[in-house]
Amino acid sequence: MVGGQESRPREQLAALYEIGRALNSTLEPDEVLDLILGMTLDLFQADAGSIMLIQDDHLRIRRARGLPPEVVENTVVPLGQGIAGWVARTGEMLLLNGRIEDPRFRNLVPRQDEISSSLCTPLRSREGVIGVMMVRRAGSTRFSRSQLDFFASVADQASLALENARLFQSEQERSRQLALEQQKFRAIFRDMADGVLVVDLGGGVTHLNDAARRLLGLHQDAPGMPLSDILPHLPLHVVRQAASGPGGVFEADIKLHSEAGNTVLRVTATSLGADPVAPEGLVLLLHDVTERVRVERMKSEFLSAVSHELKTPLTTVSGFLELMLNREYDRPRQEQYLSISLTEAQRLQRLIEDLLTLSRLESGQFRLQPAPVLLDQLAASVLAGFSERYPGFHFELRVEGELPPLEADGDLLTQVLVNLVSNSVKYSPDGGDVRVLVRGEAQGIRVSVEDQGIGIPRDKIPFVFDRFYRVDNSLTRRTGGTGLGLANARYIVEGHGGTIWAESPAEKGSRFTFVLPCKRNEVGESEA
Amino acid sequence: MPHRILVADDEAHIVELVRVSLEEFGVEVLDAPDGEAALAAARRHQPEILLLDVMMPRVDGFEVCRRLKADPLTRGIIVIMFTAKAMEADRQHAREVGAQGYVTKPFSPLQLASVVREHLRGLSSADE
Repeated sequence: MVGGQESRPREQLAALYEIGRALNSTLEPDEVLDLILGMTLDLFQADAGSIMLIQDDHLRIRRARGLPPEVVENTVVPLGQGIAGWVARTGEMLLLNGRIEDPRFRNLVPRQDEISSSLCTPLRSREGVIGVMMVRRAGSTRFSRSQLDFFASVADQASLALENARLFQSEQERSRQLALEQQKFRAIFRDMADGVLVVDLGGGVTHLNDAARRLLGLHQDAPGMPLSDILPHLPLHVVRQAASGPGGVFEADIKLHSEAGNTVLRVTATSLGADPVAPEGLVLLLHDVTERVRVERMKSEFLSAVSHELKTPLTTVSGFLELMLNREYDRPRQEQYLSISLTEAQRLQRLIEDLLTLSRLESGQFRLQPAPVLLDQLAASVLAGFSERYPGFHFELRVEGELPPLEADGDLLTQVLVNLVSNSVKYSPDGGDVRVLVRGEAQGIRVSVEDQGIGIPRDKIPFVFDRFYRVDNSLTRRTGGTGLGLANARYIVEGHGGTIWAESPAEKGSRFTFVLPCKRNEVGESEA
Repeated sequence: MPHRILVADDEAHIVELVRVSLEEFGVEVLDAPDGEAALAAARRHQPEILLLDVMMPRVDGFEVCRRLKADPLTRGIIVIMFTAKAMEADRQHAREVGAQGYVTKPFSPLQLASVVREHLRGLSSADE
């Protein structure tokens, strides 16, 4: 027995050293406590012992030996009560030998008839008392004073070990949280759609994400590679200048040419670092604006084309009127020039109407009220109108099969028919037949308009539905079309969920066909 | 010998307008409906002035002018371009391809006549 009736400093020291070594071997708090308790009971030849830790101002048994399990589970001692509570509250050690009479010290194990000795000492950390350690020896052999001191030293060692263990645990927990946070940010960085580049003060790229690699077409990169290698046209000093100062931002569009095609990237750069006056680098954001630029260019080109189309008839109208105001012409010529002006003014009017239709179609304003439409009747009335106006032509309507009821915008479909028949008339300079077929099919209704005119060259067929596209120009000069008829027709047909196409077999005569879908259900009724 | 002027435009009414505008001073007006026809007519008939529309199908006006000026046979023809596009970039482009003048549509026929007259006068004095 160590530190028995005769205290032996060397033995005690050796024992402390052993304890220290053993405690160094583990950083798990519970393992530490087990070790402490085990060694302590051995050292003091105690029958029972426990380590209690403070939680919510109460002591609960954390580890015990020689105590019944239900005691271990259920003992909860408020600070100040009993031996443990007293020691924890005062921070003083306690040695109780023999029968415990003092009512302050309610015994943990209610066996008042037993004679025993108890040693109890506080466990401390930097913040104060964190718990107590207690050992009990049954029988009449008492604990000595020097044993109490030694017990205290052991407790100190134990406290230290426990504290280390706890620090280690909380440190691990913090590291884990940090790693999770880092993972989250890394995932964001990696999965972002926009490219991100971080550039240091020397102009080297320190970070870049997958999107940046993809946008820049980089297959391999090395940390620290110069930005000028990747984006040679970006003037770094200009970027830095613009990005300096509070709220400073650099923004520019950069064109890149690669095998994949041409892309336009919007580069936005800001300074990196907390101090706007002394930045640590730059953060560049890359956003793909290729599509947006393309759409804007298309809009701009369209406006240009529209402007030209509008100014052309206007030139004629204002030109002839000016001539007639400033010069003398005989009556027949006056009539001729006035007639030309009127024709061109009407053409201008048709063009404006077509443009308005196009605009309305594009803004989705049509099909406000789809209504039942009888396509065969629509076709019949359209052809009736053309028959009257163009006696040199023979217009024929054929209806085949059972037509399912159609829900659509009748005015717009009328316009499609008018555009198609009108084209047939325009491009059949020698007159002839214009045949319209309306046929009910399983999927919907098929309409085709066929003529015997000049046809469409095969290489031009893909373009006929483009805006302002005109196949034959000498005829264009005579007929004064707007160039939007087929474009609008396609818009309308596709807006109804249908398809439209052109054919010109043997490049003599043309046939334009469109199909409008209808849904048939079992009852035999259907809707488009 | 009357002066010969070639008008290249795909719009029949514009051609007619130009013809009537230039009636006054007894010029002979030829016309061509597109770029290819314009080049062929220029080579064949050697007009003194070519009034050239920019927006023509297949071969546009700028290209016609470039080819015209590249060909020694037709280099001397005075080219005046007209178009509905009135942007500075287009004027610049016209200068680059060697056109001697630029008129925007809608044009005043009287102004056009006056521009043509100036160029013809220049030619006559060059002859003297």
